[in-house]
Amino acid sequence: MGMPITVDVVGATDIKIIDSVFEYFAHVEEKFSVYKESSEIMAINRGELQVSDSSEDMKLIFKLAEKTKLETDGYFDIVDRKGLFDPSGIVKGWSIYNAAKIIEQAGYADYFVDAGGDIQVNGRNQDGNLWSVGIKNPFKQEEIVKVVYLNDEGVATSGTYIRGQHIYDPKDRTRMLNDVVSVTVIGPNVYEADRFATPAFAMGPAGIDFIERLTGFEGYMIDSKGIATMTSGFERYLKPGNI
Amino acid sequence: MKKFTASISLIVAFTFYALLASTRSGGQQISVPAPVASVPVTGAANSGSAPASTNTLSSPPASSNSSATGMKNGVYTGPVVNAYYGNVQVQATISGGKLTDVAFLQYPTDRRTSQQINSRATVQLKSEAIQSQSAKVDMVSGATETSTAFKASLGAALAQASI
Repeated sequence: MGMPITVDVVGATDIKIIDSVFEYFAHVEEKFSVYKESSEIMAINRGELQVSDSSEDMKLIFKLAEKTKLETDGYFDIVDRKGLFDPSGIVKGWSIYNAAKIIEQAGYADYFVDAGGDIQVNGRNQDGNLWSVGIKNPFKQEEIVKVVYLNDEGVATSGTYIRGQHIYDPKDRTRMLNDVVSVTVIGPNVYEADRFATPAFAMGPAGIDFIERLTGFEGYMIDSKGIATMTSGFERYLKPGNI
Repeated sequence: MKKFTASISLIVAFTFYALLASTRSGGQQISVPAPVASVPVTGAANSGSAPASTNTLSSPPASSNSSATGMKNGVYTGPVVNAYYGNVQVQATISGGKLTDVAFLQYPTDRRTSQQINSRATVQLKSEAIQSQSAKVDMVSGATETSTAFKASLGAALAQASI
């Protein structure tokens, strides 16, 4: 599947920093893609490689996945229905965060890295303002329903996007399911936001309460009727002039 | 006070297509990413990951009407696809050559553990009706890319409808 990646480094005059970020993402793709037979994760899935003999990155991802599984009461699991490992749910946020660190180490303080709507931002935008992130309307792809202003944080959204369709109870087609279509999580970095967005979405309406209980995280959940529920500290991100 | 800088802001968009052989060269451009493909197109692109043999045609079309969109009228059921947290299975209805309805036959909240957690009493958090915003933003966070299971099931359902 395609994943658009956007990198914006304020003050960068040399394209090399951008190139090195994309080279890193290509390297991650080679190692962790379940769509590439040549990847390390597929060698593990075929039984040709033990996790204990795998690369340091692979061992770390398995460790982080296990930690997240425990923290989410099993709602996060990299083992799929066929019993194979698909760690993309943890690799995505982790790799965006690492890409951000590459930019940081090159000496830049103002940037964002956006991979498929999961985003790490740091510093300020080119106008000297906080970075603004729109939360996409799950019912209308081209619209946003909220704007949050971030400084050194990560944001990730998990959910289902349905164009002009209704989710209804297949047993009673007159009844619309009042269910969750999108959960956006703001956390201390994109890795933390992303690894909790997926299980929060999986929990249904209780997902927003799960985020509420996490220290240092805020969330914005949208249900199938277009009603949003936010955590108690979420609104502080709605002011362009905070921090 | 507005800060004027002579700095250059580099914005580079890049798209990985995992199903393509190479992502290393030629994919970079100085632009913002184009909107992601609509559900039918994206779903169809994903149908390769969902074996056609698992598909079932739940109710064959009475008359095989076709149109320029290349889809036969009828109701098509996609395969059950794992979504990490449970299974997703959708049923697509094609009418007038267009996708007119998508029903969820299986949905993760059907799971008993989900229902137990959902029924737990919780603190009252603030709610609001979502409203479209016209503000200009630096970037957008959305759900599109994470609905892989939905797209895989729908893609396989639509593959049956294609002529």
